[in-house]
Amino acid sequence: MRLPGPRGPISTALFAWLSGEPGPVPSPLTDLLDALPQATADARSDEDVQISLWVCYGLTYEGFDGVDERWEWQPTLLAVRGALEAVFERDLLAEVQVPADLTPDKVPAFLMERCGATSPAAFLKFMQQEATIEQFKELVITRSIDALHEGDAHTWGIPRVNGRAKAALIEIQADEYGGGMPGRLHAELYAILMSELDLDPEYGVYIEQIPAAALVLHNLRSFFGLHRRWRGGILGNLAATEIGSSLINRHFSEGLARLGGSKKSRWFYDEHILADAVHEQLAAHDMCGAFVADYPAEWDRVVIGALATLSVRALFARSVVDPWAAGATSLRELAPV
Amino acid sequence: MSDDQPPVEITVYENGPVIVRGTYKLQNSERNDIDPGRETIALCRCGLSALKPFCDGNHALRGAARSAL
Ligand code: FES
Ligand SMILES: [Fe+2]
Repeated sequence: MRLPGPRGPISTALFAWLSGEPGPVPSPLTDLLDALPQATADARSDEDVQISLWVCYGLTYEGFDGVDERWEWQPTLLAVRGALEAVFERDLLAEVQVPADLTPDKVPAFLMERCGATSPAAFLKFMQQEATIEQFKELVITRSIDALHEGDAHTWGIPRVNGRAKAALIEIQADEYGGGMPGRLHAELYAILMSELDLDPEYGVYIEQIPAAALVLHNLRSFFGLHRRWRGGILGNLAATEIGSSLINRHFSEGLARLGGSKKSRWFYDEHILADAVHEQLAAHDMCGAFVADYPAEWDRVVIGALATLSVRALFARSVVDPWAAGATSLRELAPV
Repeated sequence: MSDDQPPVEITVYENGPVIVRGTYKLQNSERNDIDPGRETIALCRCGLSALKPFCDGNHALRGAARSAL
């Protein structure tokens, strides 16, 4: 995968820096990062911040052609990533409030209630009943940046928790990875979906067209997954992803069937209708319920993780629906070559 | 089932399905096998699933209807 094009001054300086040998942070980049807390109003939807984070995290997933592999653990790179994460975290937390009357024992029920109910109902109905095939493909493209690595960020949670929460997390993850059967991994089912829709399933090929509001879905998981202090957050993120997912995937599957999509193309969605009906129970009760009981000092992290996930998901839905309502595309325009 | 095999685990989830883990055989009333599709399965106990005997998350609709009343 090649480095994507920059989307602002930070990514311009960062990507140029990454193209050379690992070394000290160039001072223009330091200045930009120092100014960032004032310069961005919401890092969650800031194109420059999100593409920069996606590249920083990308060093830990697949890396980039022509980028020295040693960058991944280069302290100067980690400092830059940390500066981006600090504003990202600030703006995530600004959108989230743990209810004052919520107690750890009520977390599973709270998650079921809140995450199940918040799926943007109008958006799902639109996908099911009205979306054109072009719009459906747009959605598949934008979600590909997350779905082609489905499960991976949650796997980083495994060594960070013990006992019952770990067992439940592994039970879910085993299913995400198709029970260990090649070709059955959920990420692979997504690749099949893309191929069936004549899209390219290679990771990152559509990156230029994918807006911050979609990158943030993936960056949020990477952020939680790569920080032990957010181990509750990565579990909350997984719970918010699984709960209500069966219904979401049913809408997508029916929408694609309406548009003439083959059974094979709908496999990804159909698999999730059944898998996530299991996962949502395991995630809410066995995993998060056990974590809040076994790690009482961190119980609210689970809730913050779930609520932050819902807030970026709402952002994402708007980024798709608003342009469509205006008769436009939800994808970023490609720069003329 | 041999004596040293742990018993099938059947867990009832509040306002949700029954989750079955372990070594089991799933069949309909004609005793024909049903492919469970995965190791740990959720069986519908609310009656609303469109994919019975499995739970498909539709129990949430009942919850939503109830809390809307
Ligand atoms: S128990 Fe889940 S659909 Fe019936
Ligand atoms: Fe999945």
